[in-house]
Amino acid sequence: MEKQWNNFCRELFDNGGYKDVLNGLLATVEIAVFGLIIGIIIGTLIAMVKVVPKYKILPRILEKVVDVYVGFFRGTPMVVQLLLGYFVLLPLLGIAVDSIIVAIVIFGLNSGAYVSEIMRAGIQSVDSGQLEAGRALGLSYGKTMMRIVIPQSIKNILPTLGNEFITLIKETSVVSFIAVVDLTKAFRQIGAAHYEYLVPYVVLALVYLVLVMLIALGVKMIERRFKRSERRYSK
Amino acid sequence: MKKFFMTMFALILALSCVLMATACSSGKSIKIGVQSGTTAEFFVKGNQEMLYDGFSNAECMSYDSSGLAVSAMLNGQVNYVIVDNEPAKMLVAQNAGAIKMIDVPLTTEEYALGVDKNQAGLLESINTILAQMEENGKMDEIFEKYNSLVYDDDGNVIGGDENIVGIESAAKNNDNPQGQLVVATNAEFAPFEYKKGNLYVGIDMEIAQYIAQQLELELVIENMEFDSVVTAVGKNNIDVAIAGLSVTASRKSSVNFSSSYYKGAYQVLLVKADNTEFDGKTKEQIIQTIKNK
Repeated sequence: MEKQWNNFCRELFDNGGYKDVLNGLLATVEIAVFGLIIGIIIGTLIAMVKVVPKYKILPRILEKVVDVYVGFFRGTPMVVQLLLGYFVLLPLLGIAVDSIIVAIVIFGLNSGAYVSEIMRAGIQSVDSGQLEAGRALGLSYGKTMMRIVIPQSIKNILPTLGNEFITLIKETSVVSFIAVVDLTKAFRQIGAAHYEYLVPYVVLALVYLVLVMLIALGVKMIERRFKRSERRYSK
Repeated sequence: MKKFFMTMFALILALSCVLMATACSSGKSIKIGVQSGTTAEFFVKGNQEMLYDGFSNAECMSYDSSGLAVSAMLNGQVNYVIVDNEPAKMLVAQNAGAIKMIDVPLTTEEYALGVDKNQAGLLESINTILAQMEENGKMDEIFEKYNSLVYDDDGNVIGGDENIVGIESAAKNNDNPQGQLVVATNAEFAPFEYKKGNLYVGIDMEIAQYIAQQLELELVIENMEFDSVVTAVGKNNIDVAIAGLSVTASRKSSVNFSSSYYKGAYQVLLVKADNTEFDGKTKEQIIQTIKNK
């Protein structure tokens, strides 16, 4: 055990493994953060399409399109989507893109499908009187949504969004399939130098755990901040 | 509330910019594709024990198999691929016209079997059998079989495979580890090990079968990632690693190597067919050309 620990430390500090780990950490956070940002944008748009009244033909067509989109991204594993994007879609398009960009886009598209359901639940959780009041005051449908309904819904869905972010962080561990060096891959490389994986994998688990706990803490703080605008019924 | 949203938005935007800037400034000018966990990966990244300097200007892109690395090169995701010479020949044959091999040894390596450190007896009997195979011509026969494959322009085998019979892996029986020879391999490394339907074929697989026959054991083949092959030995009743495994110092700390059965192994550069910058160059010139990129 001590020998393994020493080997790990030597590989990490003397042989420059920490650079890979830091870059890997950056890649992991980068993919998850940008993935979530893209996901929230796409998810909000999809959710709006889903809750919009279906009197006209255009919303109906749009709804079918987003149904297919959500169906695809929820119905196939993340790894398969990464492989499809990197080894099928890019060659078909005939363009070369950095693998980390591919990972960010695929994570964003995937997350969009999940966030759309979260957003829809959030929008529907806001009392319909809010929308009616906004419309009665002469605001357009879009403005009522953006200014009144969505800000209130965000407060309701914040814990679930935090959950989605944590899921994304953990799911990034598969991006080495398309040759991105993320946290998992960095620690695997350290293990590969001496074929001793015990220490690297335990430390890897701890790093993910700390990362996720920090995020959970952050989400909790934002939640507390949001609560300030709430009316206090009890202590 | 509005103020809070604005601050949050600004924060996220600033964070994005910082992350983007660091992502773009990695300072690597070229990308070299390799199979994850192979000596090629160490060659590109640099390794003190093996005396590889590595390429400080190259980003090492590690794929699960050399085939994936080649398809990434064909799509322009990586500039070059470095791979073992024998698989390189197969890859060139299967991607005829699209890639070519710069047949200059970048390293010298030997393949051997990695045997569980707690089974000294097994190592001894494997060495005896390997020596016997060299003597009675069985080894040459196996290598000859895979050298005489004929391909058409699309990379399909059209001849020479009459004598290649697929090997079936027996079901692993953890109640009777003594009666089975369990080998770990990564069956994506033609011509040493690959799959034909649900059967295993390849030079290593035939050697493993011969050893199992001589020892009168049932052959069980465990197909896994190349990364895991060496570490798997000695755990879960896995006796031997046979996966075109080059003898290296770091692997020696995990397994006992048998005598080598293939001494002509080396790493070569694969490039796109229209690339002429390495034609007629020596090993030093090739390495220098890459470093100057």
